[in-house]
Amino acid sequence: MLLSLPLLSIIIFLPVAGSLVLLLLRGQRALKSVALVVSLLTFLVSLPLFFLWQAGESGFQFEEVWPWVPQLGISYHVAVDGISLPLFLLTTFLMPLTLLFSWDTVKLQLKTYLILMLLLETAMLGVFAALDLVLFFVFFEASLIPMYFLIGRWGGPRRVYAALKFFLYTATGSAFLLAAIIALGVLHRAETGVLSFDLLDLYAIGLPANVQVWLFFAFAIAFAVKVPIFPFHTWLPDAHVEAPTGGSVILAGILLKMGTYGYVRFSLPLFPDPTVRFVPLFAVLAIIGILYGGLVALAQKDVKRLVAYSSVAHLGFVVLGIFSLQPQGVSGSVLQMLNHGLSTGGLFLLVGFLYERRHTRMLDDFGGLWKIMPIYAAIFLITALSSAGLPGLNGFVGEFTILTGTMVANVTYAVLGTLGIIIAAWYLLWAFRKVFQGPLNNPANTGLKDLNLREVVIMAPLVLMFFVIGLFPNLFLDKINPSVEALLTRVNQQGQVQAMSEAEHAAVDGAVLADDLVSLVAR
Amino acid sequence: MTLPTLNLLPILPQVILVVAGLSVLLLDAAISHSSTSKRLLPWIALVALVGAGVAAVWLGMQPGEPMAFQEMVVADGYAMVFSIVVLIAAVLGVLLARDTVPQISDQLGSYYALLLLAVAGMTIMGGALDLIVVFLALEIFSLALYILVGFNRAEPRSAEASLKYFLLGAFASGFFLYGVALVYGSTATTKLAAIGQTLAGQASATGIGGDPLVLYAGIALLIIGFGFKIAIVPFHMWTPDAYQGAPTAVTGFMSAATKAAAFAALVRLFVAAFPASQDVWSWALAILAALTMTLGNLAALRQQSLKRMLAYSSIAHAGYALVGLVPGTSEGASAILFYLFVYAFMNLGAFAVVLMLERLGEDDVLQGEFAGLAQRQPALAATMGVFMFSLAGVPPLAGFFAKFFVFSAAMADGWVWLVVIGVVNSVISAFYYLYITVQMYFREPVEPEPMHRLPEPSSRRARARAHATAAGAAGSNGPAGTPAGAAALASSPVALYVGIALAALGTILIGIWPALWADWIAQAVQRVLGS
Repeated sequence: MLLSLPLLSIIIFLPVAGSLVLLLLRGQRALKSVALVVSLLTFLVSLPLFFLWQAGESGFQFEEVWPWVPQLGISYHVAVDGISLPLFLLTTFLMPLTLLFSWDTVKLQLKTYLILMLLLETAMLGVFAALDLVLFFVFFEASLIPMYFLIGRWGGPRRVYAALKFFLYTATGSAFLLAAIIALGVLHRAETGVLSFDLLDLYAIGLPANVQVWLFFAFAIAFAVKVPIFPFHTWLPDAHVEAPTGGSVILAGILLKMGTYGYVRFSLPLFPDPTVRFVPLFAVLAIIGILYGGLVALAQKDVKRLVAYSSVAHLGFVVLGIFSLQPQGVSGSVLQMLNHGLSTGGLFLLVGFLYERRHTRMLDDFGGLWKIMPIYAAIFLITALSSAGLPGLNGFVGEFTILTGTMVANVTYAVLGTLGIIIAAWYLLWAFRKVFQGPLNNPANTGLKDLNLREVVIMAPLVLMFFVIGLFPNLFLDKINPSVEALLTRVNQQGQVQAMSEAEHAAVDGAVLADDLVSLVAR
Repeated sequence: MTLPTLNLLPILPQVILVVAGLSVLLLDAAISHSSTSKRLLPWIALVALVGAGVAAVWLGMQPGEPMAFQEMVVADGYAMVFSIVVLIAAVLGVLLARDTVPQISDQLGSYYALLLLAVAGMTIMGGALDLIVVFLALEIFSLALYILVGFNRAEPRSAEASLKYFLLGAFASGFFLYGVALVYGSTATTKLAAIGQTLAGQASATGIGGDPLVLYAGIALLIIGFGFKIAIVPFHMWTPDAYQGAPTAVTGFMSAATKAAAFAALVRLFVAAFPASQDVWSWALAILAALTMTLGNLAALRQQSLKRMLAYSSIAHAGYALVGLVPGTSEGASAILFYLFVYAFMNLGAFAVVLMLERLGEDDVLQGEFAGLAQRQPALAATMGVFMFSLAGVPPLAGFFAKFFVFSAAMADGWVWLVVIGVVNSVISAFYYLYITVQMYFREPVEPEPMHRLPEPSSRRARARAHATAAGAAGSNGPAGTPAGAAALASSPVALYVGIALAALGTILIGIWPALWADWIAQAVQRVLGS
């Protein structure tokens, strides 16, 4: 078996190795090719994770443990389970596409750009694989530095402001996270005599409820800023609008998921008590995010801003699903993290194509592009519909599963959340109409060329994945479900079983539900 | 009365340093007219520092902890590690000085002699087992530093800095001595171990350690004395002026080395001699640490001059390190040591970059003068970025683990509020460290203004700078290899580059692999201070 190889470490550190090679290279073409090859190689090496996956297994796979700072009980402990696998693969999948987008669009200091991108990939992969809290924090914070430079150096007119805001907002959140992580290690020592920051070790200690509340909120604030959950979202539109397209894709596609992933991976199992207690708070904030994000998106004149606010709404769904604490809700959220990465990543790429051609993103500057850019229009439509949750495409599966889970937990939340789907369809189709339909009456647009081969190659894998996940969600759901169920069993055992009593009866197995979906779509 | 046996072995590193210091001074006098021989001086100093380091390590590994002068000085693992930190700062300090000090003074012999003497004093601090030795060591290195701060005689600010540092330092010494007297009055000894035993005995007999009023007053005065040297708020007033006025090579050296030396004695004193009254001083130090971190960082936010900014940042870092002493555990002590070890690399690195810009003809480096550095000098900007992110405590750089160790030591003893203040301060500090990276990477280089300030004929440095600018301008116009380009190349600061590279390498490697160093430090501390 390949399992004897430290597969995860190879994947995580391959981009760093590639960036060191880049340091020695000269010439734009060589740099671009090597960076692309490295990211493609990383993706290829990550595929065995999917194909060698032990189905039905809820625990961690491909585990590696090495001592790192033994005197403080910090270890290099990486592994993936059904919750992290989709995000891990999403990262390796999106990175080559993003680099391919940057092929002709980044001219300024290309070498630094590519090195930062590869360093960022390592940091993100590390976040999704780390099981030691300090290791997680190191990767979580380390991802800030490349993104800070990507926004600040290659961004739009207000890039410096946006970069600083991004860094400082996130760093403020993480400061509390760091204090809470240290406290957890110390609490572990108080109970067992040794310091440990290993997630699985920390599972074993029983935390008093009042301590849990404090730590829960320290974690929650850090992740809420990252997601972002209303009202911590104000850095996001700035960062997105100012970031270069490649940065936006990574930011929306992957970095934001670190927050939602953090809730599932750490907050729920470590602090089940306050999680159950504060479900209403997070559900309400999530719903505010869904409705507010959607309505504000509706009011935007800039397409990129519109997509940015749509992220606030979509991640609201993910948070709602997580805090439904139902198997389908959480599984749907994990799947929806993947979906959002694909479809919003795709939308940012598409906006990028247009911006490269016209150097404007204002909706009013466009109209009637369908006639001259049919391929672009078709791909845009599919991506927008994927984002809006059309059945048969990936977004539908995620949102439907989330709403089913939420429905089981609380009907009101589900109904309010459903409103968000309607708003999403509204603003996405409205944007589509503004850009592609109507008369082609702006003379500046008449000379626009349709997508070239490189651009089609970038979008094709994404569109393919929309359909693959939309039609065969079990490819991922049957990996996600066992891990999510194991996680929720832990939450329910530990936490007060209040919201769950009647839910048990209504619970539908996620796999069964997914089968229903497939038949529904097929019909 | 028998004469004490004179065993100089435990102070072998200091002997090497003092002998080398005096030789440098004599050698300088002997070869005063040959400028090529003068180039030897920094290398002699480096050899002496490395030799002292080897001696310190050898002594630290001896069984049985050799002591000297009736058990007043010890060469144990703890002393060894602090000596290494001071020596690292000194090596970097010499590398910084080699290319820059000749521009401000021709008295190179006295410069390196004073530096070596200061290092000798500082390295004794870690091994001092008696308050009198602490005081002597404190005076030895302080006197050398007063002169070094004022070494740039052409610069009035340097003289002002020296005077300020001297006056306040003299006050601090007075406070310290008074503290020693009061502690002696309450325990009838100046030996640390004996003080600890006496107080423990009194505490078990009466429930309180010693005459609380006299003892606490003594401890308070000692804190004030150390506080001046370490630059803790509210005893930090001299720091910005001294740091700004002093030659940058001196500032870099003393910011890291003085802290290490003073902390070495402070930690041993409090953990070994005053554990009985820990309840009281823990709180006092916790409040001081919180104030120091917060005020240091807030003041740094408002600075334009980079040296002043780094001065306030160094105050803040003294606060972080002090957090490690609050719990009074050996875990906290090793955290402080690790902190100072890391700080020597990242802070001297930052000062080296400042020095680099001074050399390039930029007068009194302001933050704005970092604008576009990434385009002019990508490698220099990248290393400065490493130092700034490390000082801000962003992983995976060394500064992160330095803070992590200190905070986890404090958290382990239940100082949650202090840790929260600490992490919030890390965020505040990120503002001004990031601002430098903004300047370097996100701003366009500012065209150098035409020289409105004519070079003063008396200032060698101004002349050298004018020369460098002219050479640089000629070099950028003409192809390399023209006479002007060759001149610029000849004056290229090799040692400075080496210093910056070493500091950056240290900052990155310690961050990626902290276990190695932390383990070494923890073992050394554990053996001396116990659990």
